[in-house]
Amino acid sequence: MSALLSLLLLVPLTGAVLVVLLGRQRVVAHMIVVLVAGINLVYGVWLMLQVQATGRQVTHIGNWQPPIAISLVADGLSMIVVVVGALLTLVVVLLVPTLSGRQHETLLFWPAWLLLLLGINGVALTADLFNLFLWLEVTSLAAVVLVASGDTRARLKLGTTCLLVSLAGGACLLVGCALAYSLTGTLNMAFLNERLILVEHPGRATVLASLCVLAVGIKLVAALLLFWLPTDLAGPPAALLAVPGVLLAVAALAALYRLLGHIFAAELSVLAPFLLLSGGLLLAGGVLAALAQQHLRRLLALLLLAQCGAILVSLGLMSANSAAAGMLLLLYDTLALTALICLSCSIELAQDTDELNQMSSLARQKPLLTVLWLLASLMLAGILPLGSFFARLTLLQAALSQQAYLTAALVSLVGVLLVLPLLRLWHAIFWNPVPAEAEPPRPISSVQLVPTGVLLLVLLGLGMAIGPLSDYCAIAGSQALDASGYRVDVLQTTGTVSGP
Amino acid sequence: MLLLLSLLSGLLFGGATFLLLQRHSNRALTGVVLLGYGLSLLLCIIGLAARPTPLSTGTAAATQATTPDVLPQALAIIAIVVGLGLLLSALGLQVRHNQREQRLNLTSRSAQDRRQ
Repeated sequence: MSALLSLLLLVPLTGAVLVVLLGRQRVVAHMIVVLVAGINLVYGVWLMLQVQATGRQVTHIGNWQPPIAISLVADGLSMIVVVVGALLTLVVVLLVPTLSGRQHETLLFWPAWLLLLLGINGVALTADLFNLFLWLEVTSLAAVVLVASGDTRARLKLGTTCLLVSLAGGACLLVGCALAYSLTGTLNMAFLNERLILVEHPGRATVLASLCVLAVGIKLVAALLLFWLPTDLAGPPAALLAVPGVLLAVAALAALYRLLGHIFAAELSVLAPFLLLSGGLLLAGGVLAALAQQHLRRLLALLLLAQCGAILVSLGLMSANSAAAGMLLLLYDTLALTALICLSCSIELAQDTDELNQMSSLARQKPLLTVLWLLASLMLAGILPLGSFFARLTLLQAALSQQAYLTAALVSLVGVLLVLPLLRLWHAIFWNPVPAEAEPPRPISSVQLVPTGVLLLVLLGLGMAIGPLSDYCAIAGSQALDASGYRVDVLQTTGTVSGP
Repeated sequence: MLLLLSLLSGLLFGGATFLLLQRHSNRALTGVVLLGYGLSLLLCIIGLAARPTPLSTGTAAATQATTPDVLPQALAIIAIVVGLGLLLSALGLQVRHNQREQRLNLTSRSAQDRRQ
């Protein structure tokens, strides 16, 4: 087909090289990053419309024949990931120049960021299990480089830990690739799905699927570890380095959907109870742990964990409706959570701490920050009848229509409970009585709040356009669980193999 | 032969896991090296176990049975490259960390000296 999907990989890669070569002038580096993210965003949105109009877009690299070729596939899920990555990059590149006071960008900051973008685009687009492993490695390695870029002891130590954890995940996935190849003789996702049906002992495929899911889960742990940086005074602010964590988590969740929706589609029904159980535990545990957490960024990490739980539940319910809710959550909650993270970056810089009980009230000094935070948390909590609310509602409806009453009760209960940690943050950051001996917070320039404000405007716009958006997500959700359609589109056969 | 190689690869994985779980970071890095060896050995074993592949044209069954599959070996090469990259970045992080630690120790020692 005509879609040039390799552009989404070539543009960030070229950008990274150019930033290394020309990035001495900061302005040039920013221009290149804005250009790359802009191209990704525009092309991603255009592809979204294409996907909605005509279905999956497939490119076979080098025009090889389908089972041998390395294919890139753009479907609803992958375009959501690409657009989220481009949007977050744009927000960060607009935010960083407005932060004042110290060296925020180290030499490798922007190249590593563009490689991160390359990695998540690759995870989103690839239709080959081994390439999935490679792109996940690229993503997590770039995230580790970003974390270590402050060059303080704590960051280097956390970087090493993250690297070792993500290495364990990568090793699991590579063993999964090796076993998949020895079972079926192919690594192409669509062909793998076709041949796995022919494997004699169905238990083998289940073990293989669990190994790959485990690998992706370990990557998710590495993503959440990035939130555990202490606040220190060198390099990019620690809160800014939580955004790569969000991106890595998005990549891992997309890989999970890809694995269980398209490759091991027959094993999804076997693994679904475990997915529901672990998703429910993460959902409830994340929100409850957030109630007890004393650090701002770790609390946001636990909310991200709860969101991952919700997406696991949406996958475990195994219906097109629940997958559509998962897509909406992946798009909307990620953006809302990133808005909170970007605001917490300003808060941490002003307060020099991310411990909630040491913060002094900001509501008087910074009304604009207060309003933006309130807006972002209302969006995340789904109180405003906007995107997040509809995502949870769709998930609830999907659970009810399948008579999964326990799941439905859990989802609605956690939806209510989610307000409590956000309320706690709201009180601790903005309305705490000022301790007498505490120093007043540093001033925050209003310019810093502009990128987050723009992101919130985008979120509001998405919330207003919830009709077309949920139509798109419905298509994306039905594509995400439709293995036979994926097979037909990628292998370009006419559905000769009949299977479940 | 296959059984022996599989056992060897399992041994490498076991050793790597043990080393990765150690507190000492040099041992963890040795674990990374061992893990890389185990993985490439596993990929080579899979290449040895002959089977019809998408790449084989199906001309002679006899050559297929004796020729190892090339694709897993290509994967093994890529895995070695990735493993080397990971190892280098881990070593780099470790070296920087040690430098910081040393400088910190030196400054604290000189502060102690001054006090004495």
